[in-house]
Amino acid sequence: MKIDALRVAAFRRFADPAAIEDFADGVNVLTGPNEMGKSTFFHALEAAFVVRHKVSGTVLDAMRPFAGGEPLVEADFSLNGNRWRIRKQFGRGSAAILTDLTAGRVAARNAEAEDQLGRLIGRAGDLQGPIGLVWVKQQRTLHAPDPDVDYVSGKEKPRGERNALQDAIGREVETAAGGEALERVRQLTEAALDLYLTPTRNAAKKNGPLDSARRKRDETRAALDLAERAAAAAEQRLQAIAAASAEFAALSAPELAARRQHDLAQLEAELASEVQRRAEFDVAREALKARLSEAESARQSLAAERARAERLSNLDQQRSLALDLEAQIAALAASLNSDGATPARLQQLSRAAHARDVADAGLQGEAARIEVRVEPAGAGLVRIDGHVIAGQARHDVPESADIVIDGIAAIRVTAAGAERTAAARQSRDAAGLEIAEILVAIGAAAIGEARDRAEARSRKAEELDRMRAKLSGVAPQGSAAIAKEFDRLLASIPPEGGVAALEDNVNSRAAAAHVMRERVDGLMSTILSDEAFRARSAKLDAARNAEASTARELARLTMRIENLKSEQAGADEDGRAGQVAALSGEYERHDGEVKRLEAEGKALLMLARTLEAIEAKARDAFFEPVTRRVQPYLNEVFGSAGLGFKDAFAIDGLTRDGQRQDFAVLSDGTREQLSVLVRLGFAELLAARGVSVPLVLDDPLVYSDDERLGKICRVLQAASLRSPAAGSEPRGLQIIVLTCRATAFQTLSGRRVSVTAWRPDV
Amino acid sequence: MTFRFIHTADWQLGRAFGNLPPELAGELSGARYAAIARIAGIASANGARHVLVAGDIFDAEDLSNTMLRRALERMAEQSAVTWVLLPGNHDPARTGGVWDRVMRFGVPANIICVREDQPLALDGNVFVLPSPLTSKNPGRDPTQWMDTGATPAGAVRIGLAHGSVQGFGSDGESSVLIARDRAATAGLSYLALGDWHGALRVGPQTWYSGTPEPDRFPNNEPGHVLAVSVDGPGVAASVEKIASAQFTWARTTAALRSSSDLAGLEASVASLSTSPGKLLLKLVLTGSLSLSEHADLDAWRETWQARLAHLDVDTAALAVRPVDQDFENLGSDGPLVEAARSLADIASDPTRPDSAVAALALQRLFGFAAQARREGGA
Repeated sequence: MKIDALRVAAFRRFADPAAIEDFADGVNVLTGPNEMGKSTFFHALEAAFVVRHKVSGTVLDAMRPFAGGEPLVEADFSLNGNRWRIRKQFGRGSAAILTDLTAGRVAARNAEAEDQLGRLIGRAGDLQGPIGLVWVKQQRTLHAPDPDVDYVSGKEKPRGERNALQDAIGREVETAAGGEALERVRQLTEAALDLYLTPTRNAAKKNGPLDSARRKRDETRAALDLAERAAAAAEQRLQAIAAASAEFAALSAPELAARRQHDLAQLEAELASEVQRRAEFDVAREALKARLSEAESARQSLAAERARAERLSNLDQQRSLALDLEAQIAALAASLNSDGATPARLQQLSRAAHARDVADAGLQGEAARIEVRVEPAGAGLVRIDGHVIAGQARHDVPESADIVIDGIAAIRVTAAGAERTAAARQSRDAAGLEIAEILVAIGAAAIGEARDRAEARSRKAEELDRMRAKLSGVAPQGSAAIAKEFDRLLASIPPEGGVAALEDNVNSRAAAAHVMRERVDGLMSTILSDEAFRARSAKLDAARNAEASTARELARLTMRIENLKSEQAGADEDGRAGQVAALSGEYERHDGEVKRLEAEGKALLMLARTLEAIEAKARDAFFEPVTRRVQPYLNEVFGSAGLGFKDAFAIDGLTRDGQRQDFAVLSDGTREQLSVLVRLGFAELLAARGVSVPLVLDDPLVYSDDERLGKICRVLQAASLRSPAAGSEPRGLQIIVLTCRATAFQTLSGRRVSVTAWRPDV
Repeated sequence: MTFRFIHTADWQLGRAFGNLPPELAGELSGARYAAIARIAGIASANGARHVLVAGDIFDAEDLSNTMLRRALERMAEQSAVTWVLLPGNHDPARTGGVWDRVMRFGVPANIICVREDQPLALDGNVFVLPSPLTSKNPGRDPTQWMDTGATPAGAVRIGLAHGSVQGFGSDGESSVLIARDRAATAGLSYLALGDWHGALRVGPQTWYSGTPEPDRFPNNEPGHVLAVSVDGPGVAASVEKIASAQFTWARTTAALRSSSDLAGLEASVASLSTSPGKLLLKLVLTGSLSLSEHADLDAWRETWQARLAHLDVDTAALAVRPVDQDFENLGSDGPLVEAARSLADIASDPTRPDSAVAALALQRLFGFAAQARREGGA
């Protein structure tokens, strides 16, 4: 497609009709000072080819000149050998007319005209139209470069991974493919999102409206929670007060209290009378004990008195017996003392008798025996040793014997052992003497008698011993001691009235005890068993405890109610609970605001993603072929060496003058040049696909130095002459440059177009 | 002898309105206190010396002391009127509760707080039989006792209670159910009720007065007091409804199809109140508007938001449907149009959960595009 003419009326800066009628093939340059309206022609091109004739509102307003009027735009263009005219009237009486100039007829009107125009210039299809791709408006080439580092956080942005040059080309492709309007909307969307969300878009931006609203909401929620807790506590307290009051009322109900009092009093009275009875019983039982003890004591007194009398009597007998015994003992002892037949004497006598017997035996052995028979005539006349012998006699003569027969003879007989006999006789005589003496002492005539006498004495001694033993049994201390005891007993005061009185006493005491016993037994039947009494006491205690605990409970309830009331009064003073309604309303309000802002954020995010998706689609479609086309231009403009491409066309750097450079940051000039070259690439790509549109540059390359500008111009020049592909239009690319810098583009040879007045036909 | 009195209820003093902007909330809260003086004025204009308030004098039990005292002060100032205050479910008479505090502050001579089920002699042979609520949810018919509540022979009996009437589809919040024929069974000349915020006759001699100053967007008739006159025992009372509100709360639904419908809406809103500065309006919009019409609506809304005390526009049910014109404003079939169509598809599909988001996104897209155009033209 080639633009042949462009005419405007009541359009932006041009209130009066104006036209450029002399567009040529190849390069066209419109130079002029600032403000002359170059950009108006750019907008007019847009209006003619892109903007709908029925546009309204701000879009329409933007097209209207200050002076007012209805904008009119008309463009003539050639396409595949045919010439066409699109004429658009905006605002009141809006219309679009597509005229086939070759055929000299109107091809279509209004919406149909616009649709047919779209088809003519290759706008139909799944990709957006090409016009926006290649028309570069003043200063719109410059994106504010995305800083790789977030100034606030100091962190590297994810985008920083991308090579700046590749990024720049990518962005240019996106912008070119998406169109300027899309790009701007995207920027506005992102700017709006920046208000709400962090750059990563997954959290609310700190102190942004959403964050602030959420904080306010959360703060209100927290305050509301506190207030609700306070209100709940107050409610609980009030209910507790009501419950405690009800409890108090129930406990202190007069009829209930009266019944409790009555029951208690009855129990107390019952127990008191029982205690009284038990006291009487105890007294009686004690009295009985006393009576019994008194009776016992009386019995003991009686027994004692009886014992004393008996003892006196016994002592009396003992004393008589002892006296008697003592008299006998004295007599016996005297008898013994006077009796010579003592055992010692008897022993002496025995020894003497034995000695005599021994001497006698000696005498007899040696003696001569005389045997005499005295005849009756001699009776009384024969004597031996003076002893008259009568009848027949035998007579031993130990030593000598004198036999005298009176008047007849005296005869002496002498024994043979007269000497020994003499000694023996002497001994015998001594013994006989001793015996005689002893016998005298004993008072016995003969030894036999002495012996009898000794035996009798011995029996007397034994008798004495027996007497003494007996006395010792009767009165060990002797009769005197008994007498003394007797006297003492006798001397102790006997009771008045004596035993009889005592006996009477015993009887009366026993009777008293009996009476008391009967009384105790009688009382016993009236009192409770101990077990029953303890149970009754326990019952009373329980009743009393219950009464006391009721009193305590009432006191506790009173205190509890007072405490709760004062707590409640404190809470009322605090007033937090009263804020629930206000705060919940406030929360609702803030929450509504948060929801509104969240919805806003979500909508903006959805918009941003939709736009991104569309841009990504364009980028994916165009990035690779455009980059390939641009590469030679890049080499030409930026140096002898080319771009280094990694896989998937990731540009890893720009080699310039033999030195590789990483383009962390591209200069404004470089990006501007890239923008023009990318659009040139697009135009050539489209031309190769059979859609040829002019490349329109509105005040481009303002940041480029002369050398670089010259190189760009050469590239553009070459492109305008090159035949892009077989089968396409024979002429090279039409390039329209709108610039205020005539000298800068001097090297760009081509048509210098001029603005002329126009008289639109009605 | 004719006994005249004013029946009112549901003052809800101290109501906070926290969901509204603070300055408006303050005005609304103040208007409830100001209603006291207006009611006193209505009483004297109608020859009434008594005002019976059927419960919910206070919005809550835990109001600040200042708020309670302020209420007492306002009533005390109206010394020509005797106020009979009945505890309701918002301000039940329970130990340690709001009325205990009121008693602690000291009750002015012209205020009677009824806290017991006991006939109260008002004027000669006129007796009020009050049924104060003693808890938020007593779960019984508090007017039961009125049937047996003894008054001297020939007395005029006037019931005063708070709760819902059985069989009447009240949306009152309390669970208190009052027998519908109580006036008849208790021999009442009139039963003054509170809880239902609109003025309404619910049975013979049985009325809700409603709140004198509305506090919500109602579907009943708030903003009145009732001037009641009773000519004697057994004679039916005559009741007159008298407007008492300062603010009008209105809820309106309007269907919009185009910008021109806004004019009709404007007229209907203007008819709601003679003083727009005292009108709170909840406007529910349905229908659908194009994007440019939506922009017109936004402008309209801004104007009316300034004009009214409060304007809450609910556009959840108002669809945004881009029309050709909207797309044409975006230019020819460019990528922006593609984006707009993709969003419009989502927005117009009600089965999609994100249709509302898409509608909003669409509005933003058009807004930003318009801004971009303006900048481009600058």
